[in-house]
Amino acid sequence: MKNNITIKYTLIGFVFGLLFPIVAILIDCCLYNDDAFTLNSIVNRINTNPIHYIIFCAPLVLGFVFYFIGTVIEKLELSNSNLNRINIDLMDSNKTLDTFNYHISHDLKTVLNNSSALASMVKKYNDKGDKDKVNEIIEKLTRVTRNGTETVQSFLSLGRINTLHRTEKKVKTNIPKEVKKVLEINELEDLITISFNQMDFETLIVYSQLVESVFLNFITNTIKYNINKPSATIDLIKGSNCRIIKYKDNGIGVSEENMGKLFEPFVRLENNLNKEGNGVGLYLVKRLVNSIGGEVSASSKLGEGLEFTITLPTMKSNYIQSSASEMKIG
Amino acid sequence: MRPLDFFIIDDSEVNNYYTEDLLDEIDFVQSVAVFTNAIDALKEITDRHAAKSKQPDLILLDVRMPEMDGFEFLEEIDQQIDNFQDHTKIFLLTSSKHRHDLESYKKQQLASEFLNKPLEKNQLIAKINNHFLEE
Repeated sequence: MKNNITIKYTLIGFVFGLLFPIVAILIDCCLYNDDAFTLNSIVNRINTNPIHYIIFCAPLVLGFVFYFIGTVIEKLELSNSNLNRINIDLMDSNKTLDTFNYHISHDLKTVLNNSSALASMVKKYNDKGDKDKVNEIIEKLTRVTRNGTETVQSFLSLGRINTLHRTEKKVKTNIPKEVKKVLEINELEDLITISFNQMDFETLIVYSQLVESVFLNFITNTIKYNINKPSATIDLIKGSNCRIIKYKDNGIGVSEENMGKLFEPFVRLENNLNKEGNGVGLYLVKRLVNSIGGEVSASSKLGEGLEFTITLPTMKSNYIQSSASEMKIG
Repeated sequence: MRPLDFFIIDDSEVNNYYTEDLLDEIDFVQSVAVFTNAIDALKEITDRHAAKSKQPDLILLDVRMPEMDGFEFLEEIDQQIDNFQDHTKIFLLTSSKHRHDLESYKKQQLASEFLNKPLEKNQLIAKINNHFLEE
């Protein structure tokens, strides 16, 4: 269906086409008709000059001509609006890159600065022969470098999201096994207890980085923001046309007023534990889940832990393997 | 140099640990209070203002903090207390000076220095001397 521009131009052409023969005949009659200017004389004049019949086709001809002009203008306007949209997207992208650059340079420099500050303290107290203080500082230094590694890992993962579909293949991923692997690789097994409650399914066909990054972020958050012995439960629920993953922890939770900011990039929420984050982890989770058409949400009350719900579509996509055989535990 | 009272406002536990240790070595430092978020520090300052108690002589204020950053803290102080800079000097601290931060620094009136972290002892003493030796 053509839009207003084409219709408008076609109508203009048609109206001009209607006016054209009337004006042409009137001029003709005025210039070449010696009889009195009556309806009969006009009809006679038309009959004596057959070219007037051709002129009566003008509404159709001009209608068509203007229709094509309208179509061309419409296409040009569409191209123009597409270019404008691309331009706005590019400006947004530049802004995002600028923000990304600001945070990445700040966070990486913080790691280096903290390491350099602590190294200078090690030297000072080593010269003084204060071994206890040196050990205390080295412990902090170890934490700083660990945080630095996490920061670099988050930023690198964030940078890879846009190229996931080109660089990675979706593979059959067993969620419980993947969670176990995340704990092993990152040496977190002794720091958290994770149990699976409801298990309607176990296997998804997704980018392996997705499951690994999502659970690594959930788990490290649970460990970091916790005053109890960190633990979490995972439910794998089969919904109609979707698969739902629920992750609930026993951490310090997030206040209602801060819930809206939870997935925003580079937003670090205040917490009583004075733990430093880079504000990338949960944004990364959201971007990863969104990249395969899924949604992630969270609910929490301060002091009562956090619950994340990931909903992944099954209809019209092959992200998720739904056959019963593949949902059996391997 | 008269004895000076310090506030450190920084969410980084490591940086506070380092800065406190550095200030501990400077003989004119009389007291150091550490705040890990700007909201608590703002409350302390406005409470002192209401009670007409002595404010710190120097605040070492980090730029990037969650909830309320350094520049938002300065705006709040500016709105709530007149001529705060007459009695208290504020040095902004950052890990990396970004042009946005430099622009914000130039626009504001309260902070008188913008320093890189980690603080370097001699540089800090020189800056403090610039502001307090004339008194």
